[in-house]
Amino acid sequence: MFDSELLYRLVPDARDNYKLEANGTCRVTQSAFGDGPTDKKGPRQPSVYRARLCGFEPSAVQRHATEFVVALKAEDVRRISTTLGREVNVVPDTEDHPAHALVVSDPPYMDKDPKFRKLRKQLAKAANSNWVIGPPKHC
Amino acid sequence: MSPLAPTHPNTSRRSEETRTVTRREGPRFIDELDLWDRYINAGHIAGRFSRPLWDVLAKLRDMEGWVDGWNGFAAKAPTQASIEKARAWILQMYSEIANSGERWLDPFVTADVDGEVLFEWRTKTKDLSIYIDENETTYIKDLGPEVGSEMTDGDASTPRARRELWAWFTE
Repeated sequence: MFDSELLYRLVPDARDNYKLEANGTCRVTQSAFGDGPTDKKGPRQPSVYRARLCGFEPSAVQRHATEFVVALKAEDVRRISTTLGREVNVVPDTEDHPAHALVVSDPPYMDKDPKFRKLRKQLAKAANSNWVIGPPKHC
Repeated sequence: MSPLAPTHPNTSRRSEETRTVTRREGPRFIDELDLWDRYINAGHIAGRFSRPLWDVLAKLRDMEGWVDGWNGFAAKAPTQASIEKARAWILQMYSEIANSGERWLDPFVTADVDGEVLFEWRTKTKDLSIYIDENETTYIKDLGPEVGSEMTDGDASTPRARRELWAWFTE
């Protein structure tokens, strides 16, 4: 996957996944990258979708019409490695969706690893409120 | 009047608000207001009553009703123990800041994915997050707005830690 590849991230219309800032922007928060914990054991790996394989149509990844979508670049995700002290990457995971990919790390973030918070905070910054569906009108 | 009575000019107005909110919110909220009164009357927050902190406490109360999956994914609901510990922590932090004469800034209050309470203060260049659960109180300092900026973490449970974190955030 090239560094320049654009990724979509679903943002459910749920409380505190976004916040209105004092400057009037609607910021996507770390809560919006809070995949898991789930019943499925294993590493925590936030989901994204490869825009190119969605025809650059963000609505193609929506599960519900109420969901919002932000965009981020693969190179920004990989840049997170520098602050976390572990390699962060985006890898395809096409079992459920041909455009689906996972943000993975080495070593991986396992259940209740507090360091997973840093990854989510950095992902929220990488998205930088780049809404491609949204922002929510009620932000 | 007791020498420890509140000195803020809005004290009487606040008392009226207290009675109103008590009627509206029910008995659980009364305990919180009593706690407030104890802090104010003990001089911990003398003259520095803040409406924003009131909103923080109301958000913590609201979080008691959150359920698993509150973020649209599989996040766990904040636990009662986390909420109670967070309430005590933020009141303590507020009183320490108010007593030092510094300006209080209202945090963004939410939960984290494993049932913790999260307090977050942000500026254009800094981000301070506090995570509280029944076992620990920790911080993450984010030292820049760009992706890949330095982040540090540590314990935030002690008065000294709170003081140092606030000094860093407001410097």
